[in-house]
Amino acid sequence: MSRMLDVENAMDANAKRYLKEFLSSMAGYTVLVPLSIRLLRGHEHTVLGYGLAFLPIIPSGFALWAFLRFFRELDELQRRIQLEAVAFSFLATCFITLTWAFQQNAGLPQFDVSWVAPLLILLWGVGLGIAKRRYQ
Amino acid sequence: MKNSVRDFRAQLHWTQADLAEKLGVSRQTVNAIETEKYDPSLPLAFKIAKLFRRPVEEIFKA
Repeated sequence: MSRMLDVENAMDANAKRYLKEFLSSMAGYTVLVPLSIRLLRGHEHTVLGYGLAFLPIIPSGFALWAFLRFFRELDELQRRIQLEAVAFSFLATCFITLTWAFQQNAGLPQFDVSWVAPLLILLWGVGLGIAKRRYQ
Repeated sequence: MKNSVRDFRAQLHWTQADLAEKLGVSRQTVNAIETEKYDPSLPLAFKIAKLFRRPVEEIFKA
């Protein structure tokens, strides 16, 4: 009984740790984006400017590392669900951005590449919902 | 793939959570295997067979 609780607790602890690390990273990101933009004024095309523009990427790197740690501790079905969700997200993003690129020739506005990451994350969530339902 | 995991587990009076704990996977994974929505990897299938003390082909059938 205690080992069973250990396994469940380990899985819960993994999810909780990931959530904590991810939210901390996103909090850092939220602070650093406006700060970076503000500090960048007047330093464009300089080494300092490139360094300041890189600031929001640091917490994003922590979020990436947190997810990889979370992923490695999942069991095989949970890993499959995550992989199916990521595959869905990747392919759907390719499809949407490629469609948009061709539609630009017909007059759609220029696609801002900074929307690719939010789109990937959004579609990853959609893919997770689909994959989880499949194995329920 | 068909399997008799639920039957063998019931014979031992184990819950899905018991089996999940012994296999080191989540209860949802045991449930997905029993409802045949997910075919386990070969190492996990052998682990299940070892726990039930049966040949793997007796538990899993194509």
